[in-house]
Amino acid sequence: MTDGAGTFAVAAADVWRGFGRERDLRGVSFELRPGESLAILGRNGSGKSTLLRVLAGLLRPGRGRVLVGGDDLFGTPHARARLGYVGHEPMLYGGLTIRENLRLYAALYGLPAPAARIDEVCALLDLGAYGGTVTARLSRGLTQRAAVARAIVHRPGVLLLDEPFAGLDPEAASRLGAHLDAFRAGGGTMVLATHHPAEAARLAGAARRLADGRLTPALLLAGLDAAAVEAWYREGAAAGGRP
Amino acid sequence: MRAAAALVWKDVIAELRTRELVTAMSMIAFLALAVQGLAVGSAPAPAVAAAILWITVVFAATLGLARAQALEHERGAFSGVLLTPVGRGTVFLAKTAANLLLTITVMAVIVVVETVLVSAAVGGHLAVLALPLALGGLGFSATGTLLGAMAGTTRLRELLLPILLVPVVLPAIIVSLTGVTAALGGAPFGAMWGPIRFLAAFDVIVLVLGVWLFEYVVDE
Repeated sequence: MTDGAGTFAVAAADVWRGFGRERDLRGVSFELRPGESLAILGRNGSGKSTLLRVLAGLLRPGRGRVLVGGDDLFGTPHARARLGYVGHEPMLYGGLTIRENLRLYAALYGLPAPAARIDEVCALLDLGAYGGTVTARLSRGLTQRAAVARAIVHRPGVLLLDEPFAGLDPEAASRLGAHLDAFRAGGGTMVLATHHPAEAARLAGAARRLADGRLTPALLLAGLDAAAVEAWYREGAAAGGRP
Repeated sequence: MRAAAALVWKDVIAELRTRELVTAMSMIAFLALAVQGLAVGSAPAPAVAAAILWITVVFAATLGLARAQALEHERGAFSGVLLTPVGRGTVFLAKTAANLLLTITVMAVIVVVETVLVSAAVGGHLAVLALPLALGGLGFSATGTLLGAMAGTTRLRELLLPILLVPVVLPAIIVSLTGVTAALGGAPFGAMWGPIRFLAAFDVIVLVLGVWLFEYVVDE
């Protein structure tokens, strides 16, 4: 999928996904160019996590396609290397240390010279002192930081973040926020699922609500503060009954 | 190849650190051998010694494979592997290799303990019975890896694997049992070609099916 400016970094085209008779996603479509970021807002159970798992390639859509850099995610395995995903679970092996986990993922992504990159990522997320700690013994906040390290170790062009600040202390959240700013400034594309309008206003260029399995039109966030995004979010709740 | 080696390496490192699986499997094996040894008395017939060997392997290895599969799903770790561009067939082969290492380790423990507690003939014929035992172990591990991934997507995970695994792998166990019985009875190596050929064919079929089907099993 391309536009006049070239290939979209990530695109969803009429994505449907359900579990049994439930339909979490009903024809979700959007496109993001390199450097763009989208916040998906919605209340608990609205399908935000399902959408991100589909975009990450963990759930196959019942209908529709996910394209990463123009390649079909489910037909082109190497397209997965362009994605980094932080979900509700850290996706780390509890019996391995943080560094061992990162070494494993570096090998799985075929990263050349992984040691230097692992040092870089550990320094970025202030994990250096915990690199030799078995991940099963980490606190919630450190586990979340390690999960972010796992998601970015292979330098993905697209980050899919599902409530990435959950469990982080203010300092760690600030560091992660600064890294995400730098990631976007460097041309990275980001999809952020959250139910905090302030996070959306802080990190994304546009926001959409996910309700009843469908995405609303985008709200451009440039120049809007958290209160304005919150008002837009609540307005949707009042109009549709389900934000 | 680097990805497959990394996947095997992480299982080896984690097990060396915790010794969780080998210790639990060895304890189960020891207890099962002690009970069976008391039941059959000293110097049992070759067929009985072979049956004790495989019954113990099935108990201990099934427990180990089920727990190894459960560990993959803790903290969503296996989903992390599925995020990467590594082919699902490669993941299957690497996981089978790691499970085979585990099974072979527990088989070695069982052979030693059975030699001491039940029948000295088991250790005495080790060179001859090693091949049918190892080929049976490969079929067992490969089938366990495939069915374990299937069971891993359900709520019953650790309970479901033994129920699925034993019936599917039974032909390989029966044929391996024939080979091990012949070895314990003093048959020459050449007499075991039939069982060995069957086991090799079973292993190849399971490995090919696993590489082909693993993608459909793990993709949601």
